Amino acid sequence: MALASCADTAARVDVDSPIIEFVEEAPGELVAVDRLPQTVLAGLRLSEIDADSWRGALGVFSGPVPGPDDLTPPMLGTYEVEADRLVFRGRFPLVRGLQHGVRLDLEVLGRLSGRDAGSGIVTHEFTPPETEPGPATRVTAVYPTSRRVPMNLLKLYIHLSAPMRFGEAYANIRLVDENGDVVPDAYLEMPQELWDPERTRLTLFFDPGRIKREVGPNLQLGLPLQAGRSFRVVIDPGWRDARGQPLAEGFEKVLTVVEPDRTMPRAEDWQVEAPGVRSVAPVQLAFNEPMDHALAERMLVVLDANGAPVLGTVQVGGEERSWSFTPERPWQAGRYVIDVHPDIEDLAGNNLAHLFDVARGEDVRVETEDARARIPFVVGS
Amino acid sequence: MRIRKGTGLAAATALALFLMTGARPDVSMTSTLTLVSPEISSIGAIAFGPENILFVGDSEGAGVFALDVADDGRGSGDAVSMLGVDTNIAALLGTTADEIVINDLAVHPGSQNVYLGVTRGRGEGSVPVLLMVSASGDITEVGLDGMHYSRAEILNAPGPDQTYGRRGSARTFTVTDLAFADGEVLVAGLSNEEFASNFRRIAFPFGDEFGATSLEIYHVSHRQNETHAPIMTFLPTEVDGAPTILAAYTCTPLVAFDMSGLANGGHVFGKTIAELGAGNRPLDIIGYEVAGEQQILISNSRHPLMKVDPGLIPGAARLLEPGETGVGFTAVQESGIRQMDNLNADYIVLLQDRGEGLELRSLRKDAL
Repeated sequence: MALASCADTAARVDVDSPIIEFVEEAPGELVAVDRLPQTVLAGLRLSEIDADSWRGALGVFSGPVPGPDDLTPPMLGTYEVEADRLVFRGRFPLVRGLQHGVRLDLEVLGRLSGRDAGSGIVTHEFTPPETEPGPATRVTAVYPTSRRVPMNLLKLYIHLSAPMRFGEAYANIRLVDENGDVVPDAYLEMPQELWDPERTRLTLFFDPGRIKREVGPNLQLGLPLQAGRSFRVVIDPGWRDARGQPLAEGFEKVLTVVEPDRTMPRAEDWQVEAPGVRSVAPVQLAFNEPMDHALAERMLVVLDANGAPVLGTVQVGGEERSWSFTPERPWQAGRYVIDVHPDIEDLAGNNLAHLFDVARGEDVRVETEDARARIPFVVGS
Repeated sequence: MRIRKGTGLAAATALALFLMTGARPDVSMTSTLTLVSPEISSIGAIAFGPENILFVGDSEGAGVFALDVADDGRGSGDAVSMLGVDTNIAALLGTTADEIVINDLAVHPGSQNVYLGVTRGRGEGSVPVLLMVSASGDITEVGLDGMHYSRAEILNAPGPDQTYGRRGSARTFTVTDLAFADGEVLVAGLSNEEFASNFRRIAFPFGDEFGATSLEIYHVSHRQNETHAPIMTFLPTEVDGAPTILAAYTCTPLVAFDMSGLANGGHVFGKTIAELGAGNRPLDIIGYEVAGEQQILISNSRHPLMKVDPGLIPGAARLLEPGETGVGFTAVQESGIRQMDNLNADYIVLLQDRGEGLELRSLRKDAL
């Protein structure tokens, strides 16, 4: 049963002419041609008709019906004779809120059916109704959360409350200095954009060519951030989410820029605080500097005395200066280690194995396995 | 020097290359594609390999697919052109041109059909679509239903993210370019989390459990070890008999890496041979042959098309001092070129934006 045939414009039809309508019914949407002669429907059922021929007889367009000299192809889809009607189902869902056109060529239909279907062109236009917009999407966090950042800050993570539209990120995120001037070419603009699979977290790299000392962009443009100065990351409210709706509001993050960080993080300098035996209190780790949020969540593993991972949940603390792990089950007395993968990074992209930016004569690099850190702690006496 | 990516050469030459890459022509690579009906999350970079095999980089699914496109047509050697290719694709896929993203282009070396990796929609319900444009200008969807394929993981396994206690799979690996050379699929890209490990090599045919091996490439520039910058586009080639990757970086150096004697997980030191200019992003790089001479073309976001004579590369000096620009290039006054590939012996084909929508254009190699 038709639930809706919305925004249909009246097709110019005679009493016995076919009627075209957009129909939403289980299991999906379709375009139906009703009131075709039974002989024609029977002929269509018996004929083997390829996709191109069908599209020549009944073309559905994601726009107005093209004129006679316009070669715009009709959209892909499947055709079927169902009961008393000819039905088109799109290969892809129809675009909501977009005017569509349908062109039925009765002569071609007649040829395909081997019967007389009459002559002339019947056209029809319809607009599938838009879906109800949900709550507006918001920026929920920008990492690092610390206001103070090193001059060679490598990346930002922008978290949003709902999936975003692809291809609009860089146009809607600006780095602005104290005077309100936009810092040009501050970010690495990847045409693919760097999203998580849900498209609710964008990774924004500062242009590595500008951060690495003495490579071309660095020499010509300098670092995008300058120590002793203050910048703002400005996110425009016009950035659209996956449903095409703008953000509820814009977002600003202030960056107070300090001297560059050119030292590798050292796990030996981190302070561990062991939990009590038989408790489900977290084991806590204090970094001595803010760490990359995503990597801090992922790169540390708690192992028991047998080297087996302990199950639980990770939380990264304020300003990404700490990490804690809450076990699923109460701690048993014994020795544990926090196993730190060397790919964990500080805010400047330095990891346990090497510096992001190696200057002349300071080529400090550790083989990856050697750089893996193990931080022991003991539960109970 | 020979050039392997997107060769699109005549059949005899293609066979010769095939022999040189070490593959055994009596063993069908296609027969190793034993799975049916691939489920691909995204179609990013694409490149043809041996036989009818199209490699597809799936950034969202963090994998590389090898697809048997079963395209046995013979190309005509003619040019291909289409104005408003994005508009036509949009009409076919039932949407508007601004909802169409053409991620990459690759020409089937035999049929000379132009394959396009496309995303339909930028918002909710966006889907990857593989399309083919024939010399006559017909666009058809290359259906994945029933297609034979195999797949390899890009992200290293097992990794620290595959243990416990972390939230799901926020990590992705965006494939910026891929190519097939010497029995391996080479994949360049960038993780959305750690900055390291951005070049992968995967032996083909893909094994049952084998994933990508990470390759740390050190790009020696200006007396520094510049590591881990993302490669935007690259060309497997050969310099003085050594397999070499010519890689163009986001921050625009052009770097040659000698791949000979490389161990899995090894470190490779590259030689910066040219700076292509700041504020510019290289978009695509291809090699081609004209009148027995090899040439290299690089398309750019801000600069015109650049033609580099590969004969200059073996003797090129390593750039050491800031301000040096290295191997010279000839500017070809064509801009807005997003993607390109060899079409046939006479033409290269471009996906180009000259201000009036996207078009497919063919340029004669001897006129470049």
